[in-house]
Amino acid sequence: MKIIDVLWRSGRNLKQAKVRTLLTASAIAVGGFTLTITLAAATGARQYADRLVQANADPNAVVVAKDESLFGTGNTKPQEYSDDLANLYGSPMKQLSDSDIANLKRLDHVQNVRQEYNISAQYVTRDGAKKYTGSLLTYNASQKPEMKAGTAPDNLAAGSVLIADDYLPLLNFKDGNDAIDKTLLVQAQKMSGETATFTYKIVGVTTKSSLALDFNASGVYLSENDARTVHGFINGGTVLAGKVSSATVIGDGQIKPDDLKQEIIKAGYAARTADDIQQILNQVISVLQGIIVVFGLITLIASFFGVVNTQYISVLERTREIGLMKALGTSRRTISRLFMIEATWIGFLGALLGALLAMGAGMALNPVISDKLNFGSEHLLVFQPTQIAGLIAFLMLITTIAGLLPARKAAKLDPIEALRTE
Amino acid sequence: MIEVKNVRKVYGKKGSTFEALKGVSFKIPDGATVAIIGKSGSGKSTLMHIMGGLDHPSEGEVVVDGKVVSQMKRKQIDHFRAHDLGFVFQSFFVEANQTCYQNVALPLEIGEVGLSKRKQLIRSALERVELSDKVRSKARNLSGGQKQRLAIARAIVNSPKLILADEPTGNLDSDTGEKIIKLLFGLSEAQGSTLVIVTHDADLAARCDIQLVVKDGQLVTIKDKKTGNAATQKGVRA
Repeated sequence: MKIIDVLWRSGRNLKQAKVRTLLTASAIAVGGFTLTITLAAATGARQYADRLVQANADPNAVVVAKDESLFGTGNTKPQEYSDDLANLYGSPMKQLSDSDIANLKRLDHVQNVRQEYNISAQYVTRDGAKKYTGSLLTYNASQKPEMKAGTAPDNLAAGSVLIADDYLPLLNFKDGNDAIDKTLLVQAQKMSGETATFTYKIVGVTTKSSLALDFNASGVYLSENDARTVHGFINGGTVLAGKVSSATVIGDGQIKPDDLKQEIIKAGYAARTADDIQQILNQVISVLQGIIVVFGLITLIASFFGVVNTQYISVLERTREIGLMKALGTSRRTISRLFMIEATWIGFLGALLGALLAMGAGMALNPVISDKLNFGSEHLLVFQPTQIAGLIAFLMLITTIAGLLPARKAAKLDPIEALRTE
Repeated sequence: MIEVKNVRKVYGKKGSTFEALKGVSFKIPDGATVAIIGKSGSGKSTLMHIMGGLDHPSEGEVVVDGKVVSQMKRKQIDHFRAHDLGFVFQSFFVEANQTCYQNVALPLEIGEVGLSKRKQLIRSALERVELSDKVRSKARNLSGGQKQRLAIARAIVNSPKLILADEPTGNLDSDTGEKIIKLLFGLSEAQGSTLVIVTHDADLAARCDIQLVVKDGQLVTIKDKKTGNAATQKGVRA
């Protein structure tokens, strides 16, 4: 029998047992659904991680620290005291001093080194408004914050600041444009209690981007010089004066970030590129994905036996038909193929059903998830046609294997015995 | 020409064996109509199965057109059944959920006949059994006589040399049975096929060219209308 006839014949057989076919396919669909959703979620999560890293880290930049402790992989046990140690977030971390920064600047292909000051204002206010807390961030043009008013400058001039839109109502501004060119007062306080007030001109209002990490979501962006001044004032006379826990090294564009990182490590520092951060995130996603995939595969094992069972019953039910076909000269191979392809069809139907259900669920759930997770217009469940096609092919393979044993039984039936069955 | 040479068939294993055929021999010339007569359990069905390559003889051989059916490999037997044989069964064995067209298509699908030729052969076969108007009807909606006509269409669609009919009228009333028999005779004559009918109906048997009477696994009588011979098994051997 030609393969096309086998295909049609097995398809017809399934059509005649619609309910049974559909029920068996549903079992496959459960596994298909789980796996489709898992793949879509992992794809979406990876894309989100990519966007997150891209929005928050300059791909050409390398984050540098004195040693690995900043990245959480270093030594947290007691260590010998040195002057560049500072207690940050409860664990001792070595700090980068001005001479370290100078060292980094001297490296080949380094265009700029930005010291990442980690400072908080005592309060932020303006004339006639209450006082509010505020974190002071070094402005970084490559992160391009989303603007509500004004434009994100390539270089923030000394004396200019950008403020988060959270401050607009607090500081009695009507809207973003109302804040432009107004004066912002930032009060800083030393450990000793001594205070100083800095006066800045607001040149822009940032808004919370769906991709911005929380720590720089709402604050005041200062130019590097101003940040240095405020940091210097707060930490003046302490061990932290003029030191930062991390710096960002920007390459000149003629060197790969990874090569630049190697150079920096050779110079005796710890370094991470945007790629590194992305890889860590992707690893976490992969582990989570793996766990759900295992559950999907377990449901598949159950449906595998479902298909075996269904096909066995189908062979028993159609003993007479098989006998007739054999009596009329159908080869064992054809009979076997007929039942295997039936199983393949079931796999195809089930996988398609599962994938369609998953896509439907995705369309229904994506807006809700995006809303809850602050994804903005991006979606968590991203369905890729190649992935779905691959999954369908995989499920078809699984059910075909499940059809193997019943198909063998059918092929081996003795036509005389089979025809005796009334 | 079909030659059955000293065929024995033993069922079961040592200790509890049953000899269904105890050495049967006969010859059937091409185009003849043959009745195999006997009571149930006489071995007539076994004989037909062996002639159709469905069963293997324990001893002896069946030769059809010079081909030794009983020594064929499985593939050759499949080919033989698909191209040279037509089967008609007592309980029709038509696929109730399939249309007449699909039922008749089965032997052609098995024989890998091309689609356009297939259509033409199916139409012609259904025409010959007068079921042209039922091409698209499901077999389950047919009457008993129509079902058997459909089964006959399926048996003749590939123009086989040999048609084996196992009690073709057994499940039909006598009027319908008579029509079926006429149809079978007419078609085998028109195609020049050899027709072998297994039956216990003496009237039907009497209308065949050759009557083979089987009793307890042995051929007890051969009646040949054309030669007028009425011989016992021993006479055949001589």
